[in-house]
Order: sequence, then C-alpha cells, then structure tokens
Amino acid sequence: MNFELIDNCFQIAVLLCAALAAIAAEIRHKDRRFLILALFYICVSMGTLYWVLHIFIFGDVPQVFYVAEFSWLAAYLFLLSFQMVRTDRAGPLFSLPALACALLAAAVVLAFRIFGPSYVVSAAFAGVVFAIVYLAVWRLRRRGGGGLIDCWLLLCVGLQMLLYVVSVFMQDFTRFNLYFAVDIALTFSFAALLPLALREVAGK
Amino acid sequence: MIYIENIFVCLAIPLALCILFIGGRTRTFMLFMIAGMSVCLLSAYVNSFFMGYYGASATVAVVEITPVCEEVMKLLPLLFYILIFEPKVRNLPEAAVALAVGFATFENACYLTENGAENLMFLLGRGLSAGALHILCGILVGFGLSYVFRRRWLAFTGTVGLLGACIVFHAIYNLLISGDGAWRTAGYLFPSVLIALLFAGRLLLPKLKIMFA
Repeated sequence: MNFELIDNCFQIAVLLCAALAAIAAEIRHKDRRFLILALFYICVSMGTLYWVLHIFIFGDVPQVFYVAEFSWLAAYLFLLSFQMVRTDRAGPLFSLPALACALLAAAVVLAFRIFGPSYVVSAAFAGVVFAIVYLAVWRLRRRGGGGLIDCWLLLCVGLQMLLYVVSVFMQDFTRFNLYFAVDIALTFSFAALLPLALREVAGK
Repeated sequence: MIYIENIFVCLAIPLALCILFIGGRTRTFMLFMIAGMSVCLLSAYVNSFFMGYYGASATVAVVEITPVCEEVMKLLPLLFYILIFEPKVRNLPEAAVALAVGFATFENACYLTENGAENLMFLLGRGLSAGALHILCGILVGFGLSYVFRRRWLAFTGTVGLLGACIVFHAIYNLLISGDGAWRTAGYLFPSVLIALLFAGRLLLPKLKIMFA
C-alpha cells in the first residue's frame, strides 16, 4: 500500500474521532461552536474518504468534477462559521493589517490555484481563506495578541496552503516525504482546535 | 429510453388534486413532495447536460456529476421557500424531509420503469438505501438551515457548507454502489444503518435527558 493511502486513512480516522469528541463536547457544554467544529471535521474526513474510496474502487483519482474539493471547501466554510460565532461585533470591524494579511493569503491561494485547477473553486476558497484570516488577525489585534485559537486557525490555514505549495514540488507520492509530513501536521493541527475551543469555553 | 415526464405527470396529478381538499401542514408537506418530484425531473435534464458537456461516461456521471447537480437542485426550492415566504424556522426540517421523500419516490419510480420490478430483495435494498440517503440529506439540510437562518451573517456560509456536506455524503453513497461486491453491499447498508442510529438517538436522547443546544 502506498503512503498516500496510509496518510489519508490516518487523517480520516483522526478527524472522525475528533468529530465524535466535538459532538460529545456539544452535548456536555451546550455550545454551538462544537457542533460547527464537528461539521468541519466531518466534511474534511468525508472529502478525504471520497478521494480514498475513488482510488480503491476505480484505481484512479476523480477526473471530471470536484466533489472532494467541494467537501473541503464546505469544511472551511464551517471553520469560517466557527470564527463568526466567536466574533462579537463590538467596535469597528476594519483593520488594515488584517486586510493586508487576508489579501496575501488569498493571493497565495489564487497563485497556486489551491483546490483547483478550476478557477471558480480556487477563487471560492480564496474568498473563504480571506475571511478566516481577516477575522483571526482582527481578533488578535483587538485583544492584544490574546486568543491562542486565532493563532491556531492561522496555522491551520498556513499549513493547508503549504501542503499545496509542497505538492507542486513533489513527484513521488508512494513513499514518506515532506508533503506527508505537512499533511500529518495539518491533521493534528485540525484536531487540536477542539481542545483549544474547550479551553476557550471553559475560560468564559 | 424512459419517458420520465409521463411518469411525473402520472405520479404528481393525484398529489396535486389532493392539495385542493387538504390544508395546513399536510398541504405544505404534499406541496414539497411534488416539488421534490419536479426537482428530480429537472435534475435528470441538468445531469444529462453536464454529462454531454464533459463527455463523461454513465459511471463517472453517477459518481462525480449527479451528486452535485441533485443536491444543488434540492436546495433551491428550500431557499426559495425561506427567502420568499419567510416561514418559521421550526417548519424547515419538515419541508426538507418532504422534498427528499418526493425526490426519492420519483427516482425509485423511474428506476422501476427502467429496470423492472422482478427482484423484490434488490428493490427492498435499493428502496431502503436510496430513500434513507435522501432523507438523511433532507434532515441535515432542514435542521442545518433552521439553525443558520436564525443568524443572518451565518446564513451564507452555513448554507453552502451544508450543501457541500450533502454533496460529498451523496457522492460517497453513489461511489460505493458503483463498486462491486463488498463495496456495493457497504453502499446499500450505510444509509440504512445511519438512519436507524439517528432514529434510535431521537428516541433515546430525550429519555437520557441529553439535548442539543
């Protein structure tokens, strides 16, 4: 079995466990953030599951349409919803540094056509990344560098972009390499959002 | 070749006639069932268009194109209902499930016309799995929309997110039933198992005094 399948199966297992834990946290704390986080985990793992099943059943990756990419895009939309639920609009929403960071992130997404090669899907992802980065930086500046979870969200988005940038330079996906190191780090960083959200809710 | 428009007319007319004599929530339910059937009919046209546009085979279309078209088409009447009629959010799950039931019923009727009705066990499996799949998607969209439309700024991201989740869920089912042997069996089983778990949860959670926020 090549390492791509091992890595993807590992990601599915870790994120489905994280989804179950998020649902348990939702039941215990009665906070909608956990339900949104569970949907985020489910969407990432289902997108990867679709990709893996396609390889298992047809022996090749999907060629025509972007079903897995839609799912990952939906996951990031839930991450954006998670950010929106956490953000109370006290004070002005405009911030120049936040805008600069968000524009830079969106430019990287478009330059490397992340979730492409379709321009539409890539542009949609750029828009979502723009909003997530903007809100994270805006919150960090407003709270004087407080929220660890906002830094972590920036790390997740950064790793996701790095994953695609690294994939451009990789040829062999059958053995362990830098691409898989980044992907495993991304999986763990996604999973770590749950304990950070728990900490945030507990500290309220 | 099957004449799906004729099947639609045959199935939808009795439902449309009964609407004249019923009212309230039953009427809304029946209207959404007819809307689900109409959406299924229109999805067939849209699928055929994209199949021709991309030059895709039937298998590729089922796995990659159909889930996207069908889920997008199923969402449109619900969005129309929410944005134009502004119903109470608690009515949305019922409307979404009725739409899914109409869709699944019409899809099964077309399947029967095309493939015959000899094999009862196979049709039982298909009826259970395809019905469960569409109803699960309806439940996810219905309850999801009823939450996200309570907060204006969550409506867009939440709606598109829910659509993406439904698309990939539907695509995984289509992918599994396109495979052979164990994959196909897993495909037929997993929506039924999930809906049984959901039903058990619906019965058990209130008894255990576990409620979602």
